[in-house]
Amino acid sequence: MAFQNIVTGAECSSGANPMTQIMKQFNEDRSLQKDAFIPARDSVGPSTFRTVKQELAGENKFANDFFDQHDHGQIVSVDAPHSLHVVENQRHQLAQPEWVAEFDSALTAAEHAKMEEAFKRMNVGASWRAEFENHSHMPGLQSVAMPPEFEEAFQKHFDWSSQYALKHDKGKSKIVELDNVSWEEQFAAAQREAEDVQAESFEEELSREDHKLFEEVWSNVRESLDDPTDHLSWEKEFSEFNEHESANLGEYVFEPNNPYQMHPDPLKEGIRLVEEGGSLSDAALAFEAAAQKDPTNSEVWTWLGNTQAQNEKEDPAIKALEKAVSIDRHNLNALMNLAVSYTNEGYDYQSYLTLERWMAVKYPEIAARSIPTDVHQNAHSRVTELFLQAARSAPSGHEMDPDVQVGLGVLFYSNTDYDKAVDCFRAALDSRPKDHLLWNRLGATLANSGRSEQAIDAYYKALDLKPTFVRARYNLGVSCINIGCYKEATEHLLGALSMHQTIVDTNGGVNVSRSLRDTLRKTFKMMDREDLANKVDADFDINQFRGEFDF
Amino acid sequence: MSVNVPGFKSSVVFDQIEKALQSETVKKETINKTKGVFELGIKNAEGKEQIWTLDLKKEGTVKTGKAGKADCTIKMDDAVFIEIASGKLNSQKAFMTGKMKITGNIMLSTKLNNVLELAPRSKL
Repeated sequence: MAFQNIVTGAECSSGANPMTQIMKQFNEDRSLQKDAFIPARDSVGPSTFRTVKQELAGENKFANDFFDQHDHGQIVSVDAPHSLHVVENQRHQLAQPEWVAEFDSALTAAEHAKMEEAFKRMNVGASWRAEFENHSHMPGLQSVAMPPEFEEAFQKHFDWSSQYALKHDKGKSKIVELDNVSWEEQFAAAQREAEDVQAESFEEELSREDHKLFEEVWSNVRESLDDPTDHLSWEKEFSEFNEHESANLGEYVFEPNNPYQMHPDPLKEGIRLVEEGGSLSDAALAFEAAAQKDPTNSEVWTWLGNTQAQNEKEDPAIKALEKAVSIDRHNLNALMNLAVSYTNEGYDYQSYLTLERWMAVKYPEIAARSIPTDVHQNAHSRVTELFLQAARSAPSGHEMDPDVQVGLGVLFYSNTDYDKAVDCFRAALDSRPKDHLLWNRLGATLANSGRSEQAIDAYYKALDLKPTFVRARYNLGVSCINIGCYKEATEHLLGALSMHQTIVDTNGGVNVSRSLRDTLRKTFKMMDREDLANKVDADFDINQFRGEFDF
Repeated sequence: MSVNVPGFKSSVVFDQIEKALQSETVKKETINKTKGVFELGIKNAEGKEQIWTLDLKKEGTVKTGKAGKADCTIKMDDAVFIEIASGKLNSQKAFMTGKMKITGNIMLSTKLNNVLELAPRSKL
């Protein structure tokens, strides 16, 4: 990396740097090498940037050969450009590191130490980070101040170039110092000669080296991965940078043959069903009909999404809520519930961004105050900081906004900070003790931190408040599995599945809940009832289990 | 001896796996799918390290500490293990990003998911 800065750095791009001139030459003809090396190159990946200091004994061979010739004052044979050519190939294949390694290998220990020191002074690591954060697609475009020691060592080392030219071109009797132009000429000549060398033996050699080279590089990549401090953070940032704001699950899939399409006011009917404790599956059908009738109504999509989430159908829930927030960017309810659904499905980064959007709508002054200039700052800590500020901003004597507590709870939960998440959900419940969603969120956090018994209490609270809450029943089943009560678990899961039956479809419709089925199948296996597990297939009838299980 | 070690969030997952493996059906199926012994070195937030050994070759057991020769030795942080167990992160990606170190049979590590999915997750 550091070396790349030097080579392509702005300061060095002036004609004064012989290295740049070499690069120009090296970049000319490489069609042959490309053919030979494409597979290996593809497998190497960006991590090669970090292999600079690794030992590359095999690669050094050619460089050493070359330098040996120079040391012993041999006449440069036709082999010399050949070696050069190979060296060049390897440079193309693996980008800078080999070149650096070769360069290193030819330095004496003293020079090496000197260079190391110079490198350190330049603090190249920091500049790499800065470049990355500036979205630079071309690492190394930044100019780096070159300490004099380095220049000296560099120039000294590059005396070989003039000596090479001296030996190679005997026609010129006296070359004291090559200027850049003639250096370029010399090199071009060497390269032309190289092209005449039998391509066959050349390729043969390449393919032999190819495999060995790949193995070495790959092991170096792995070694460099062993150092967690260096690149972990940017790896994370980079993966976040590449991700999208939404999960892109596609369009919502509607249930065919929906009787609510005949209903004069399906939205009102759906809300009635939800509020009066009707089946969530029926309510979802009503909201689907309403959404088909009025597809640009953010409220309708919010009802649909929230209902599907509570019905333990996360995928359609996310699709509906994404629609709701795309229509109305200020829909707080949809934003918060979408963030929760993202977290459940492992879309952590999308969850953080959604919570950030929630913050910008509800607390614009806080969100505006701390908009970071650095977009690559860790999204989790950035959004958590916003929520903490909002929590602190509550005037003393006043209750804290329970939604801020919920947001914080979700953030701590996705960071596996379960104790803090539990505190947040409990604090929110102090303000909203009748919120069944909150009881379930508390329960799930307790369960995932190993407190299944306490979780079960919380789920029962949720189910007391809302008996049709399928997700709480599913979670209750999971907690029963965790404490080894498989029969009870099965009954809760079957009970949850029975609530997916609607007037049109006894099997849950097109948006099935895979989590419920998979968990049921697993539970039967844990009971050593493979016979029952095998019955849980694509369109099984839950009523066949009624004799044995009570639900 | 319980596989639950205080101070490790991963404990919960190992505990659940151990419970699930008490079923002969689950044990047989998981061994058939996995056929290997994993030694998992988990480091928690305080920097303490704890080893769990998952024998899914012959015994179908979870134990704390080393137990004989492992086919695949994996090291990672407590939080990373939870991310993998909850399906947020797959083990290949964890390995490629250096969050997970593997020695021994690397291919076997891809089968770790078969074992981890024995522990169901609750949902917010």
